Amino acid sequence: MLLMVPFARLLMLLCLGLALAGCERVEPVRLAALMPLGGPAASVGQSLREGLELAVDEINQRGGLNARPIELTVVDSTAAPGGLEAAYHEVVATDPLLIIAGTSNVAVALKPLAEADRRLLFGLVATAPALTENATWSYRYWPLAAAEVPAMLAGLPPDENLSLGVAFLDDAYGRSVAEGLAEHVRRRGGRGLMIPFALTTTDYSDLAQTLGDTDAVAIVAFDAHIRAVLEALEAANYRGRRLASSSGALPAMFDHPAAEGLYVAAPAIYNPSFLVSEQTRQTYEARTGKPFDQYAANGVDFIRLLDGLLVDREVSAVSLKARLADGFAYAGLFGNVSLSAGGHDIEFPLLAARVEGGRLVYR
Amino acid sequence: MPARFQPRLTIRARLAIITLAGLVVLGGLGLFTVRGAYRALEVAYGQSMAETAQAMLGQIGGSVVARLDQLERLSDRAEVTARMRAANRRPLDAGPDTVLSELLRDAFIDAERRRFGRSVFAQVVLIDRRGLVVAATDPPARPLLADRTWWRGAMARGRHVGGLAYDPLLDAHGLVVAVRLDDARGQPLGVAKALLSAGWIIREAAQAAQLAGNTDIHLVTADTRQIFSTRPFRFLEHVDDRRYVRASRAATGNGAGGDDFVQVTEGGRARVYAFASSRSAPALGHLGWTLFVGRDARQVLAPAEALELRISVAYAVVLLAGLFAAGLLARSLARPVLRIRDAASKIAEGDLEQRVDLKRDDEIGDLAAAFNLMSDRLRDSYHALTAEIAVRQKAEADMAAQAHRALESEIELNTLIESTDDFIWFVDREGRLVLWNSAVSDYRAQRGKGPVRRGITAADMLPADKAAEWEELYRRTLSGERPIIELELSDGRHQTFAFAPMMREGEVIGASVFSRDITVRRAMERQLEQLASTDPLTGASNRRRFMKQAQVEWERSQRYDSPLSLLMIDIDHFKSINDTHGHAIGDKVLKAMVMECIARLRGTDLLGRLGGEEFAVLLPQTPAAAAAQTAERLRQALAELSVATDNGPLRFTVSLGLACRVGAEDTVEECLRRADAALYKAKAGGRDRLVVDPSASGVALESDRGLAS
Repeated sequence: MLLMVPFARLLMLLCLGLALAGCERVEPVRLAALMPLGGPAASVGQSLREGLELAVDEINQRGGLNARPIELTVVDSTAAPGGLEAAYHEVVATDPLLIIAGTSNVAVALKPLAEADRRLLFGLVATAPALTENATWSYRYWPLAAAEVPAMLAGLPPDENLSLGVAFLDDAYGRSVAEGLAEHVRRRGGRGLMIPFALTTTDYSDLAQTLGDTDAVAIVAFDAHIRAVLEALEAANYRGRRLASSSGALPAMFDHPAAEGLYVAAPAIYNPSFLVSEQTRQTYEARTGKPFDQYAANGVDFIRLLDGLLVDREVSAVSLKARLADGFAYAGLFGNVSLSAGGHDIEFPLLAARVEGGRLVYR
Repeated sequence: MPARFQPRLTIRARLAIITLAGLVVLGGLGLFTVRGAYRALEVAYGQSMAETAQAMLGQIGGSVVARLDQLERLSDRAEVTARMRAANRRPLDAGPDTVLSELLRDAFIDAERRRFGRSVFAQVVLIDRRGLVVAATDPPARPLLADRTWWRGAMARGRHVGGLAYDPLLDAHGLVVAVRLDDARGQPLGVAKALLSAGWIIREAAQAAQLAGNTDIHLVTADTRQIFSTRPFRFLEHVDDRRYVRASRAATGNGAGGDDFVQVTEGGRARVYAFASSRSAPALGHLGWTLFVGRDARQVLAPAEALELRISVAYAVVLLAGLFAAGLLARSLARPVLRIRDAASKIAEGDLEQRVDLKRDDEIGDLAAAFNLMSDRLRDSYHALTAEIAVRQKAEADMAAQAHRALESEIELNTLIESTDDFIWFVDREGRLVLWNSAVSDYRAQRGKGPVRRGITAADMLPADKAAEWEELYRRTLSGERPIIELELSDGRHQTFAFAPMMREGEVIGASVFSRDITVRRAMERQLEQLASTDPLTGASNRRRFMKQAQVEWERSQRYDSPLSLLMIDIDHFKSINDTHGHAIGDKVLKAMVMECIARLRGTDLLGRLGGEEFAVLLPQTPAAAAAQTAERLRQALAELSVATDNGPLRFTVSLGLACRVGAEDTVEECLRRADAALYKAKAGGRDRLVVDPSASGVALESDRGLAS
């Protein structure tokens, strides 16, 4: 047994060394995210968070960002004690690489803080134009209102004297899309009927009645509003063409009876032929048991975009900002995403699609 | 020089070494297998991905071809061909055909945007066969484009795919393509040139990239500018500093155009990049583009990693099992061996009852059984040896005691033999002198004989005849006899020689000779004999001797039938002499008579005093007549003899009776009786006379004062 003793010691030392090696602490890449996980936008925030976490886990499983694990901290903007600003300061205290703000309300609220602190702020699922107006440190990864218009207009018949009713959420985003639609109709010799409604509106019967004589109705709002308007239109026996902004392309809309035949501006993620997105959809739905939507896709793609921007580069806000300043094209979940040099809006295309038979058919 | 250090390897250590060596070899084989698997997977992945890259490039090229076809289909449109034909006849300074330009814009820009919200062609330009711009989606500044490479290429070969270019007027990058438009008769009408937008290239590349699944795709021009990437990228940014580009250049010898794969580290992760050149892709072959397909090495090598994990687990199991088995084997081997060793040690310490209780049906069991058998025999041998040793020790002790005693005896013997005048010597089995005492040496020295030496024989010491006798005596002694002889030595001594065998452990090792001077004894014996056979007063034979000697002579006389006569002599009136003169005078008379008889008789005659004053004379070889004469002379001599007394000389007479042996049946006693009878007659007849027994024939029976019958 004489030789067995030193061998056993050697074996123990080896195991200890391996264990210690495995326990070696690597500085993580910290990301902070604030988004509504409760309230009316909870579903958006939940999907966004799940998308972020999916991509973070995916990258960490592969070894992390430049061999550094990503540490994501998600704070409910609706439940932060002390308010959103306090939550911001709390997450900033951890010195994250950047801050993710989910939805326009959160992003716009955090923008001045981030700009003041010279912290990178990314607004996901954030349509508000103010987010990136005169911004230095604030960016957006979501289509601008202008991207909705062409895809929505593809659903219009080629008639030139078309009357288009536009029911839109009365916010900057809604107004912007509505105006783009109306301008296009006007240029084609048609007529645009603009009907704004508030976020809290629940009865759209009057709106439906008002829009009853139009050739087409375009709805620019969140999915709940779109459904409500569609139901009201259906109740009013509206027979014209119906268009919806990208919120109308959520999976929850596909099975809605009122959504049948709805033309929507849809991101490419719902295209089963788009294999990259299809694989992510399968992974997400297996992980969460929920339908994959553009909010989750936004979260997934943002982390992947971040990984792609910083691979083999210094992981720092300065390095990232410099990378962003050069602009880029990116083939992500939403297809060809691009950021123009010096720009702050990372856009992805919206495609013309139609809800048919409980599914989205791209044109 | 110190002894070489010889480390001791126990069975367990050897087994551990062998096991570890085996496990190391096994581990090495496993490692080799895993490494081989890794390499095989890398190669397989690389080849597969290279093929995929080729397929992707082919798809992209196919898309380009499709767009070229799309351009070429312009010649199928009657209005286009008509206007082109007309344009070829226009003056050189004619402006662009706006109708045709609108047609181009609608067909190639707006329609795509209307349908898909995006554009494929950044620009489409129609040029006549003279090189003059006829129409364009965005009319170029220069109307004459006949010097352009794409124009010449398209006119010459029908199609041209140029490289990527930046159009400052369009502020757009794109792939320059051009096709020759021919009429129905195949006559060139001009060239349709287009700038396929960068966006379209990216979309097409992205579409093709879906073939590769979840991988990184990079499309790079011949001068290492990026056209597409699945990561965020800038169109036509230089990427020659990218690891995968440098590695690919190194792999292909710094020349573009090769399919292979390399492994690089990106973002701290090992990645495998397969790459393929566009040389076989339609429409793109001459452009020298390279498509890179990268995947996380761990994903690529996941099967190998799984294999490695399985092998590692299996190895760990085998390691543990091997160590366990080795431990068991070592235990199964070492423990019994140690037990045997310990038992052997205890046996060596003296506990011969140690045995190993191992009931095993293998070599160890055989060893244990053999050990026990050996131990039994050892014990038995030991006991036997111990007993023998004890016996031997006892024997040795006895021998020592014996030796001591022998030594003591020898000392005693030496003392004894040296203290005696007897001759004592010892010879060995060859009759060689071994030991002698000083008496022997002195005797020989006194006789002037040679010195006595160890090893000499009888032949060396004695004359030949004597030596032979002695040798015979030695022989007899050595054979176990104990002869005793008596010799008279040259100096007149009488010596007895007693021979005795010398024994040692039941074996005759020699002979001892003890020789005693019996001269005195013999003299004494003679004296005793003499005393026992002679009359102490007169010196004549006493009755016993006379009768004994008479018997001897009688038997001789009978044997040889020779005459023998017996005289009986009696002193006349002897009693009166004793009474008168005393016994002393009587004794003197007897002495004188005997002396006178002895003087007158022959040496062969025997005079014996039978008692008192009665004497007998045996006359062997003497017939009666001669005997009578002898008798008569004796009578006369004795009659004349006188003995001095205080009262003067005293004379006496004797009476004699004579008888002779008569026949073979006669006896001494009978003859003496007759002689005594004759003596009685002589006494009766007046004494001082001889009377002859009538058995003596031819002899006067009586003398005057002599014979009478």
